[in-house]
Amino acid sequence: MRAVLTPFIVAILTLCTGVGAQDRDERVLTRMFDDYERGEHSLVAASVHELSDLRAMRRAIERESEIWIPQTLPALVDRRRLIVAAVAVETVERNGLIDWTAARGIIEWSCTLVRKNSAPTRAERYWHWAALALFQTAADATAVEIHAGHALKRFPDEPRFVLARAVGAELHTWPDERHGRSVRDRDPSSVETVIHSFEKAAEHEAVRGEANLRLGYFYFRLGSVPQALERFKDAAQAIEEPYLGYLLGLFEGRALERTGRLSDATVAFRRAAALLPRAQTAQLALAASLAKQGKRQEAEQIATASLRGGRPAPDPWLMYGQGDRRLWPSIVAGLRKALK
Amino acid sequence: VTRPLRVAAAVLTLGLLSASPQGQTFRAVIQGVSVNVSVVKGKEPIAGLTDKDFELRDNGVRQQIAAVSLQSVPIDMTVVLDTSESVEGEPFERLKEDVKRISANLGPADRFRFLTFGSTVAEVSPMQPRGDGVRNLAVSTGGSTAFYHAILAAMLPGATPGRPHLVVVLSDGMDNVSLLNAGDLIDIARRSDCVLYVLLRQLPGPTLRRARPGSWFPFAGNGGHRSLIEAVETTGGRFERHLVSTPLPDVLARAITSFRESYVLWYTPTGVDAPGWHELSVRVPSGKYTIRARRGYYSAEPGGRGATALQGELPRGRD
Repeated sequence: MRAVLTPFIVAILTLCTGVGAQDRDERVLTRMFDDYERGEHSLVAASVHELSDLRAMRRAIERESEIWIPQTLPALVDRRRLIVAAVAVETVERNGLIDWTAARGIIEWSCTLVRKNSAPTRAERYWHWAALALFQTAADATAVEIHAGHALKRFPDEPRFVLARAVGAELHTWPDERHGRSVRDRDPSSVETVIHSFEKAAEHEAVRGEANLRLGYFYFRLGSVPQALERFKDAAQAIEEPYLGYLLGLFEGRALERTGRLSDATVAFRRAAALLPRAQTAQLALAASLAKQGKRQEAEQIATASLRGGRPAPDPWLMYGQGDRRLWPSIVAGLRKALK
Repeated sequence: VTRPLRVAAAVLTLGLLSASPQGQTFRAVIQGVSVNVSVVKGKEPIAGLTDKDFELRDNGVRQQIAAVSLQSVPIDMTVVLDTSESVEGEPFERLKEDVKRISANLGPADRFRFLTFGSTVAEVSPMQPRGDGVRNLAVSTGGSTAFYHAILAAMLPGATPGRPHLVVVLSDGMDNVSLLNAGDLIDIARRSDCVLYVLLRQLPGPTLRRARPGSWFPFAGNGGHRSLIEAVETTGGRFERHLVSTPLPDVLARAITSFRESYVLWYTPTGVDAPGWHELSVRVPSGKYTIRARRGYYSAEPGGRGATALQGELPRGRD
């Protein structure tokens, strides 16, 4: 008798536990929506760990948003949709993208939700940018391209979205083979798409520097060093952000080395290293460049110093393929401000 | 003369102290180059060779060897350990065992430097007496694999005079983030005075890594390590690849012994005044031996003078 009943008891307990977790997730989410609406963002962040997991959250957020969004004046419904979507992307980001399938599902569902809004707003622009930053952080090329398309339908010619579409196209071309075939040999059809996408982005002043930087490095990967250097020259005139300036010095240095201009390469590497002294790639590139010119003593000092002093700073090179990941804090700040 | 010996096959100014018949001490100076040469038959190092047994060419020109010594001297060793995500689990445990075995072959006079690398390279302990360096193996794994950056950082420091520098790299060799590549290592290897020993530990089956969500790798594959092997051979070092499951105590001990007990050939460059890269070749015509030696050295001025000169004494050892 006991043997017969045990599976039933286990099933009922599991069901109860599942239902319990589901109820808890829904309660937590309602609280998070309310807190976000009041501008209590630290409370929202603190509640994230109370959710069971992203898969459960996906089910709970769909159900709970259907209840919570209409419980306001009709004029505020659009804002509430954006709040639900904002809670979704911030929660996904705080979970670290470990369960990417679930995370991606939540962002895509949120995208559908915000696109129901009657008119595009500043807050919605920030939301799409946040979603794109997450897709880029996950290096999910297809998701970036699809979502850039959604965002551009709502905000035609928005520079960051035009650039994001190009980054998505470029993401398809990674990784490179060490001492192997170039992008052109591996995937010739992608080459023109990437070049064209970055050229379109470079037409927008707001992202001209970054678009030229990325296009230049793409040319470098193709082995077209003179074209790369031309683009780097254009990028230099538009770039102010240290993160991008660092990458420019690094890439320009590599391209100059390729043409045999070793001392010019050293100058470029030195510029990158000065912009972000605790990022290691530029320090080692500079050290190697000096060593190749017989300046062993300085090379040794720079290389050794870069290995010491604890954890190095975040290195833009290590995040290069992840596009707007670096901008996440400012994007989220902009989204919160726009939803106040 | 501002720096000690910077390249194993560096240009040297040797101060030789000798006693005259009258009991006076005088100083003889020889401008020269030294080349470390390991001569092995099978697994055994070959002893008892003299200057007449070696044939050394500098840029194709046969040189008169001034002196030969078989040295057994204290060494400096830099161990570079891969701690990236790709070696997590059994490979990392094996690599740590390898580090312990290597350090067990160091003597009390030897020194040890310990570097680790994942996405970035870190110096766990600077060059110091062996006992202090190897205790600190409490390192964790994670991150991508900056394999070439780590080798470069290990090769750049110059050797201390009289102390040959061996760089031992333990990794799966699957670099996926270094902006610099094996071609850069060849350039650095030509100017470095270390001997590079790369030991790869790999799992059977496909070795390509794909980025997981939340991470991005610019590179995949290794191109068969051809350029890396060239960099290793430029220094007169070794490249070996083994499965993770293979125990390697003999291999590691032999590598260190053959490094420690190598011949040093001294000569004054003759008929090779061109600055730049000097190609070296060393042979022992009298037998079928495996010979490891640097492939060359850089000279900044005619005859090699000026760039890396130092004053020193001929090493003492078994002649």
